[in-house]
Amino acid sequence: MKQQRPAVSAASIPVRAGIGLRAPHHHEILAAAPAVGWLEAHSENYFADGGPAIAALERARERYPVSLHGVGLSLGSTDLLDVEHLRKLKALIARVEPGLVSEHLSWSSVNGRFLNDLLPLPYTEEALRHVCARVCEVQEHLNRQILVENISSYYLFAHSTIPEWEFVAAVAQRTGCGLLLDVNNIFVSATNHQFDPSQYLQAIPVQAVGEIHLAGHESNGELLVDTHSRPVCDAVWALYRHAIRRIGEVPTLIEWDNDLPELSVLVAEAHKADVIWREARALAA
Amino acid sequence: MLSLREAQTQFAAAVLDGSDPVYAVYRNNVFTCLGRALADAYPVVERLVGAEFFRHTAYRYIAQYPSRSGDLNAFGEQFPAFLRGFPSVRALAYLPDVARLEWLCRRALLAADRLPLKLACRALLPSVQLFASDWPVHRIWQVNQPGWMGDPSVDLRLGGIKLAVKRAGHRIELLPLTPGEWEFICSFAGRLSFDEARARAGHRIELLPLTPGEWEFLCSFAGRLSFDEARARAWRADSDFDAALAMGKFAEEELLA
Repeated sequence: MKQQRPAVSAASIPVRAGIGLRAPHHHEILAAAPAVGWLEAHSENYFADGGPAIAALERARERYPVSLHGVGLSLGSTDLLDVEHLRKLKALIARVEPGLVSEHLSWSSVNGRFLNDLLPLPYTEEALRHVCARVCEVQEHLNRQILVENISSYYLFAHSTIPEWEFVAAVAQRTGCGLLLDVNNIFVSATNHQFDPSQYLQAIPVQAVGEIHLAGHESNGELLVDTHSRPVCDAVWALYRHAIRRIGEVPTLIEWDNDLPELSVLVAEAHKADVIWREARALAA
Repeated sequence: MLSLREAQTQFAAAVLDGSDPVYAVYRNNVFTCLGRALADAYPVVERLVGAEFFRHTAYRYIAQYPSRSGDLNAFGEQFPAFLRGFPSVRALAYLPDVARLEWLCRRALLAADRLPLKLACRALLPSVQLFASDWPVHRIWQVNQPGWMGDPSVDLRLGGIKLAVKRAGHRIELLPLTPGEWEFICSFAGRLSFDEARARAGHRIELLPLTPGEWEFLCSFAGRLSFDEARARAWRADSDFDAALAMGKFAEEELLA
């Protein structure tokens, strides 16, 4: 069956702020068409042959550029890549024609069991070789470039030999994938593991960055946890300013998953990112 | 040095074991995320047993039936079977059937809108599921929907129910079937679901002429029985069964492709 071609061309995620598309907001986004640059959907939420969720995404796609963001592929796992998962992702890409497709630099399954969380990798030469091979496998299978995102972490492997920022940079350099730089995740991990976030930013190959994520986090008393349940905090906005001074024009996304607020709150956060970006551009000019 | 595989195996075991607080954030993430996915799939079961008890039950299920997919929509398929063997809910004999109905609702919501083959007539629409229970699960489901304003009580002596679970736009509707209608639609439209038939055909179902897989798909899915055979079965279940009326009803309710 032929899908209707979306009105917005495929490669055009604009250099503006977008928001995450979440099911409780489907109706309002379609009815009110808020003024945001683009939408990002969690790929797996739309792994359906039909029905209301995928229909809502297709209708949203007629009005907005869309990016697909995977949370379940388990890119860094030593299990075989799940070809059924890839098949569903490829079918969704064909249906939605997203401007960007991204995955996480993490793993979530081993020995066939899924923990359905973004688990950290040890940063070793072996892990780097493994992840690079997997990124290439996925890019070949999908026949397109993907972006990989740095995660928040709450654990460091004692046998890691490479700083995370060098590991992330090397994955992009060796595979030709793009980077989805999550500025909140850098802040959370920098605080938890006591490194300097600007050192992280400094190591990132600017030309590889295709998207930036911003989100809110919470403290559990000992660690910062990437909960996606709050507004972006001032310290992360400051780090964002720092990041875009260095990286320049990249689409930015506001993520919010838990304790989802009114749509207007997300839209206001996106507008705040737009204002910061315009200020940075004016300063640079 | 620890290999990547060893590191991942040990890490996952430590998260699931839960005795070392170093992994507490991950353990909390894993159980919260999977618990929420289960509650999303089984909202009526959650209402019937209460959120606190459901969370306790969900944690037991998660430990016993590991997630096997990165797609959370696929998590929870064995929950009805788990509830059947879970001593703490033995007093609620109908609960596993309520869960079974909710899983069919989930499948109906994710199913294809139409069939990929023009030839697949006499088939249930992919989004239609058939459900039978010895308990009045239809009524239990109904009074536990958000916004139900009517009498919330259920008389378990109402007995069993046979249903077609169907998708109407964004919503799930339950259509009670008489014994004759049930027998007829099971016989005539084929017992295999779209997914089962597609799995048999190995996904290669759009090419003509027919491959052995496609042949199997069509024979299974469109039903092996003729109209007359199906009607005869329906009559054995219900001597008042009227095939023309039933076909009209199925067409009007959009159960058939």
